[in-house]
Amino acid sequence: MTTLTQKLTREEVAKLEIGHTDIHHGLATALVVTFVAFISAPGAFQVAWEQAAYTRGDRATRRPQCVEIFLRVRTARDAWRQNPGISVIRRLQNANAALLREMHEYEDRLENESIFAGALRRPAQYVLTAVLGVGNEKSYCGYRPWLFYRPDVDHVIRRGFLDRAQLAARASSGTEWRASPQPNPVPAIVDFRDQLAERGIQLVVLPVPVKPMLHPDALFAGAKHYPRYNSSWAEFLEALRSRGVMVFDATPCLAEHRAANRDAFLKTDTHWTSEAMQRIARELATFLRQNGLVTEQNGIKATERVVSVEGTGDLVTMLQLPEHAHAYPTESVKIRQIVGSRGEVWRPDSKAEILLLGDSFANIYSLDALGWGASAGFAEQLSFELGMPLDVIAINDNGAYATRDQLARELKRGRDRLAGKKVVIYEFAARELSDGDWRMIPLKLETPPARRFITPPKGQAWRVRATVLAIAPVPLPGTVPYKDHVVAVHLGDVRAEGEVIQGGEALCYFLSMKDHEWTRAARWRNGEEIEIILRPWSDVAASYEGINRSELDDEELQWAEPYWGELPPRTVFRR
Amino acid sequence: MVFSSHIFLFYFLPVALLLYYSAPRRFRHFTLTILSYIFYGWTNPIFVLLLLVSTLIDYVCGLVIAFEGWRWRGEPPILAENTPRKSVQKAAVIASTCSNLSLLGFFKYFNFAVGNLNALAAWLGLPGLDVAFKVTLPLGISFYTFQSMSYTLDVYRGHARALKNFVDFACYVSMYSQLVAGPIIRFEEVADQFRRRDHTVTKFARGVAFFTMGLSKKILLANPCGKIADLVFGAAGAGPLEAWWGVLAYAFQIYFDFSGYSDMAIGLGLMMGFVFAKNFDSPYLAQSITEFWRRWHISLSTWLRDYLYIPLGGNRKGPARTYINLAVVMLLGGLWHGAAWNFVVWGALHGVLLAAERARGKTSLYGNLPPILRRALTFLFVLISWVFFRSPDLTAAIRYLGTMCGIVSVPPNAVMLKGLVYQPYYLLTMAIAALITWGAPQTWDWTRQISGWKALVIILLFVISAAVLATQAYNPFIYFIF
Repeated sequence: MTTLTQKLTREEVAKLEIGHTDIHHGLATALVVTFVAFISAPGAFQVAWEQAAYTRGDRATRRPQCVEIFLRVRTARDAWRQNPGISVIRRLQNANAALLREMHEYEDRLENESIFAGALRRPAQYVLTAVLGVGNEKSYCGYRPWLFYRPDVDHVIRRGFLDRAQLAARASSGTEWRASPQPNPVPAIVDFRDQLAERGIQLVVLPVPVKPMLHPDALFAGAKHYPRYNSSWAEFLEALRSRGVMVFDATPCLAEHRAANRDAFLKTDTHWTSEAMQRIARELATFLRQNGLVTEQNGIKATERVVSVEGTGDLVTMLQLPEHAHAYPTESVKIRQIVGSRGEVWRPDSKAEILLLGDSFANIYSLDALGWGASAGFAEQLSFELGMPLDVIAINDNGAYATRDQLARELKRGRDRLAGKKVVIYEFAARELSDGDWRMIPLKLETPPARRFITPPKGQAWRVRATVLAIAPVPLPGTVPYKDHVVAVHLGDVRAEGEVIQGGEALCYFLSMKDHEWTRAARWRNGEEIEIILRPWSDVAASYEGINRSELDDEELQWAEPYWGELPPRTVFRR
Repeated sequence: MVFSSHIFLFYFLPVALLLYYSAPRRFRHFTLTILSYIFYGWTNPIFVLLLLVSTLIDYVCGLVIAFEGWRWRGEPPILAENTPRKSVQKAAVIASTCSNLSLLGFFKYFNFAVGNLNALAAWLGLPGLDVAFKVTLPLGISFYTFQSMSYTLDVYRGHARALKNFVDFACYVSMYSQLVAGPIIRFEEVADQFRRRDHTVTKFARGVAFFTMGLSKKILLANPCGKIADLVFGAAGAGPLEAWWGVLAYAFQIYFDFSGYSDMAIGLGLMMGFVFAKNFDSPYLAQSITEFWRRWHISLSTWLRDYLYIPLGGNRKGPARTYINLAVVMLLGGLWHGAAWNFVVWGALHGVLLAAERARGKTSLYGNLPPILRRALTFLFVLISWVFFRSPDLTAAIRYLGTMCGIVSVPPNAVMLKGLVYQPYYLLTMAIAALITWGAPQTWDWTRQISGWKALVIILLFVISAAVLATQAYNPFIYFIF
């Protein structure tokens, strides 16, 4: 037999061997039928579920989600038609990039909204986490109940963020449909400082350390020493300070806090404890005074009130465990609320001399949506310590550019958010140094020309019909460290009954994710006709500005005064 | 689109099987070709054009080669093996080879060449090339150019009959089961299957078994091992033990990833009536590097042997030329895997050892040791060479080897890696991976006889894989980038 086999080609051997599969015909049939049933069932169930959802009024269309790809091809056609003046190759590349983006989004949604995958995901993750002690791509398990955010751990253990190879790799990490990030934080921060200096404003940079820097022993008991820095940290500080950028390094203060046997971070959350945050606010206030950045205390009429809040950390949510699994305990935190003389919650003051740009480290304990109470955040504590009002732009996530971008957009719309400011404090999580997009953002105050955008009266709400012209990307629930998200939508053909508004365009923000669930707005497609309630954004900004938001790239939209959109029940038009 | 994805498993595959089996027999290749182009275009639609152009060139060249003595009537004849070819036939085979190699050369090595030229220019103090664009590597180009090229070469050599029907040829080149990561199916091996093949329930059932085994290798073993490897190789530094652990994890990852993919490709082929040959034969059981290359990515090593090593002269021109030929083949084989110097070094290391073993009569340098030690030493060499394969560049590879030897200082944060890479889940996965690598039968053998309990295991593995897949966003296929 051996001699015979040696003479045969690999393919002949294969044919002989496949021809000798020893399986009972009935069993073979059963195996094939079972397999085909397994691979067909999820798609079939999904279509049936979508039809039922349509009947209930929870879906706008009877069309199954899986055939949406055919509609998305229109995006490529639009991209092809957009710039007829450019070369054919360039147009082809643009159309291809648009199609690729649509295909990736389609695939993500198909998986994310799958009833089948959803039913399997949580129990499977429970087994992996509770039995086998492993997290997922977002959340790493330390010693129970400690959890760590993966990008935080990566920031500490990976190569230095200013390492030449690392910068080059990140600078070329883009795809056809997603631009590469600008990886180097130093030029972006120096540029920001220079632009502020032109208006006589001092920049103070506040990189907030991340959990593995202060609690490495919760990940591995042998890692007792703390704080632990990314290997480029010292070079980064030196680069900024040598260029005259003022940096407040919070890490030593938090290390001292930990040394006193106090946790600097919540066990199951990405963020700092309330106590540690208060300490940094106190130290920063001292730093600002010592450097002559705040000369006098104007005084605010505020009092402190200590309350207890209980919550489950964002890292538990990112694990996507079954809802009633209770694999991780709730944490109890005492927060110090800063309230007015009549008990009213603290509010930012746009006329304040200091503007705080912050991320979720500024929003926690302040933005109720994060689940850890309100009126006790970093801005509140700093304002209380300084005895001064504060203006705040705080957006969860993307601290490398989101707040600078928001500031630039406001200036472009003619709202001078920097008027009267003497100091800008730029707070961001240290992980942004390793994975943030440090794009240069010009800050130019402009006068908005008359546009085609609608202008409904302020202080009122209008029920309108409109067509979705474009919608910004929406993150997948459970993949981001926040539970709510706001999306920018470009609306066209906006019209209301009584002809108050007729046929204009609007930039409108909608809640696209609430408590880790997509809202209907997240599922809108270009060209969809919707019915909504519009309010001026300025009426609701205080409640929603802190929530992470994705914007549209269209430059023209930056001129538009945004609106806030709400979804009345059962309002999506059926075609 | 990858096989281990929600969209492939639960949308593409059922629709593909439905369309394939509901199509009339004479339209099945057409259906399969359309499905394959959609599958390929899913990764980047624009490269479908490239695939089509490459296919067209080789199809026309194949016809030109076969045209002599045929004139379109009936089936093209197989050319006589030892007769001289006319100049037009020679021109056609050269055109096919050059066009394939040019495509591969441009898309795969352009950036590498520019980078090296600029580095050289900088070293000489000269201005570098100012190239405003970066070439994107089309998925699977290394596989389908080799596969397509084998067609014209086989027709030219008289090893196979040319295909008259363009759809049949396009189907051969683009078949989604092995288009993007092999195995490289040589035309002469499957030519007759494009003319006639059986579709039986037994074959389909074996295909299900192959596919499921491959899927579970990929999702349950390769992905977790890949996470360990990514953590260690991506870290600023590691302790010596973690460095060894990381490269061992990578060895398991690349084996289960690629052999899993090959199993899935063979399984999908069987579901559509095709039989593809074995691509892996327990390579980590090899007792020498020569044997390793008989067991690892067999379709590539036989391709390189038949289309490169033998035309170079093989072992017919004396020992010195044999060693040179082996080294050249392995260097080019290394470069085939990736346009970077670390791949060249990886290929060179294997080439040198192959030549050394050839000098000893195809036995390893440690051939006198007991088999278990020969296996261990061969695996050790393979493990060390994987460092070059996995590292982002040559400097990183040398540094990593230094860490493994304990001669590179360990950065203080490296200790934190221990908390991540020794988690119970990873320890269990690595133990199972080792057990299967060195103790379990191959998919080929295990599925030869499928009893009731084996069918149950197959279904169970599919369900577990689908459940774990639902929790994973991390799902790379290593060989997709080659």
